[in-house]
Amino acid sequence: MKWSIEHKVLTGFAVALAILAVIGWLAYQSTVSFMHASTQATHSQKTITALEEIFSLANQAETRQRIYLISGDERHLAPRRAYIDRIHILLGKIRDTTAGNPGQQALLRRLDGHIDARLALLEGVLKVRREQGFEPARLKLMAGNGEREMEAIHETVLQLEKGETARMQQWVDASRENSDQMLIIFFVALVSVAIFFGVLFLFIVRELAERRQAEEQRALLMHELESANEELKNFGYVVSHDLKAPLRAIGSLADWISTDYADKFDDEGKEHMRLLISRVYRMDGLIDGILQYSRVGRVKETIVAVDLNRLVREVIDLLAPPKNMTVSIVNPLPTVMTEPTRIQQVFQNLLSNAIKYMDKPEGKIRIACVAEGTQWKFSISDNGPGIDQQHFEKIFQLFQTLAPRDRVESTGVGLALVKKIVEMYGGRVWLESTVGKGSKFFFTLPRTAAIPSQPKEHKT
Amino acid sequence: MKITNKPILLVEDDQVDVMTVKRALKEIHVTNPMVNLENGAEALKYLRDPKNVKPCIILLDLNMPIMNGIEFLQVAKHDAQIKRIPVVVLTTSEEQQDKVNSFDLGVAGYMAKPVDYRQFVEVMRTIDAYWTISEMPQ
Repeated sequence: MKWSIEHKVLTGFAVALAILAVIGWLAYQSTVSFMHASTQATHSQKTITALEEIFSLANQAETRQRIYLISGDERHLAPRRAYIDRIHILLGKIRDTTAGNPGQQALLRRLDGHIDARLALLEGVLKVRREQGFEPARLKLMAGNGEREMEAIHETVLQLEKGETARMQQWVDASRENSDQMLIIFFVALVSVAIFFGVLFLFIVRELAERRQAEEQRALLMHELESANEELKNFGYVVSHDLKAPLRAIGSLADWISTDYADKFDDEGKEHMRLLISRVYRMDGLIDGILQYSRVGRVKETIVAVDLNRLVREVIDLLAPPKNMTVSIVNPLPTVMTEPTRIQQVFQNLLSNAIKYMDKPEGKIRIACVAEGTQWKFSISDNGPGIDQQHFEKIFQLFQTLAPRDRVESTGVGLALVKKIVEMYGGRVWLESTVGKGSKFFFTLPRTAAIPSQPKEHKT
Repeated sequence: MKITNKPILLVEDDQVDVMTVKRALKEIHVTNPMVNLENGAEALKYLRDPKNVKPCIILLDLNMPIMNGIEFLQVAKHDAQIKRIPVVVLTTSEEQQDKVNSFDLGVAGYMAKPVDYRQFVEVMRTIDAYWTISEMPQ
């Protein structure tokens, strides 16, 4: 299947667009995953910062307590409460950011436990200091496993930090790998789109060059056709003037010879002169036929509304059929938009054939018309001699006759003319016939205006 | 012809056609003298020469060498001295364009030369009959 250039170019652009769409989709996917990784890394970063703050707060809280233990000044206990609250808020935050990571969550629960234990321990020491004084409190502090709990907190925080750092590294790595992949895909896709457009461009350039060449050839051909057409037109003119003049001279001279020297000719000589003159008439008829045939489509007439009922009756009157023939119009004929002379030639030739070749004592010729789709279908039927099916094509060719010209004088132009006119209007002509029974000629005309489908002619 | 002393001007290059016209005029007993010229240029020269008697009618062929019938009409019909002389075109051409051009230039008639000499005699008989009845300016 040969695709038109429009199809090819459109397909090319569609493929290029598809490639761009795929790249776009990949870029979107990549950006989404990068954003996800970046969010995760930020979470880890926040978690680490929060853990460090917790450890620092725990230390500060303890330091404050120690100062209180030594000095007994209640003011130093005031920020402690805030520190503890802050620790709990931070723990909550970490719980949120590490949600979905069971290992970290478990560590976090452990850290929670250690911190609570450590705070409970300190609370106990504070209580003793407040109620019993410095020495019992110091003893209680020394006896408790405060140092161990603090170590455990430190240990847990470090573990949590290590986990988060690993996780952050993991995200950063994934995102870098993703970016690298994306860069390669982008590069490959852009290069392939560039190559694709390059090929498309070359292809279009080549196609345009081919097209231009074809156009040049067509212009040349058109020019040749125009000059051939011009020559044909001139040929018609030459035939009408230059061939007819000597023919007329021959006719006249033959006439004068047979008149002036009538007494000098014997019967055979007179017969020869008669044949000579009749052949002059025949040749004259043929030349007229050629002219008539070549004039169709060459000479334009104004398109007018033609009432075929009237036109066909005029044609019948003109042909003056003999008394033994009846020519009837079966049903009312339409009014068509066409060139009156041309449509008249169609009816005149078809009807005159029917009359000329009629071989029955009572000739019946019938004209009818039916609407068929977008066309009128006309028929002219007769009960004449009929035509053998093998001649159906031949009779529409120029100068083809079925009877010897000496028997029935005919140029063989009529049906060729009918065919040329009907086809010029976008119609069709054909026949049905039974030898011995008669013929029925059909032709169609468009029901809309019958405009001759001829290329524009150059006026010279 | 109504005026029998004035010549008939035949502008025609074909010898046999000239013979045909002469023979036909003789056959229908037209006694006017006949002047035959071969083309439009010669006809104009003749018509503009004050020594020559102006013809009562011009029979004009269209297809001629040097100056054809239409070209002759284009000049003659714009010449005040010539334009009133009736011109009957006698031609082989049945081209619509030739008819249009001829009548645009004010011809008095347009006859296609028939191949049949008998018919030609009838054409000439009709032309004579018409110009025998028709009035003409002096």
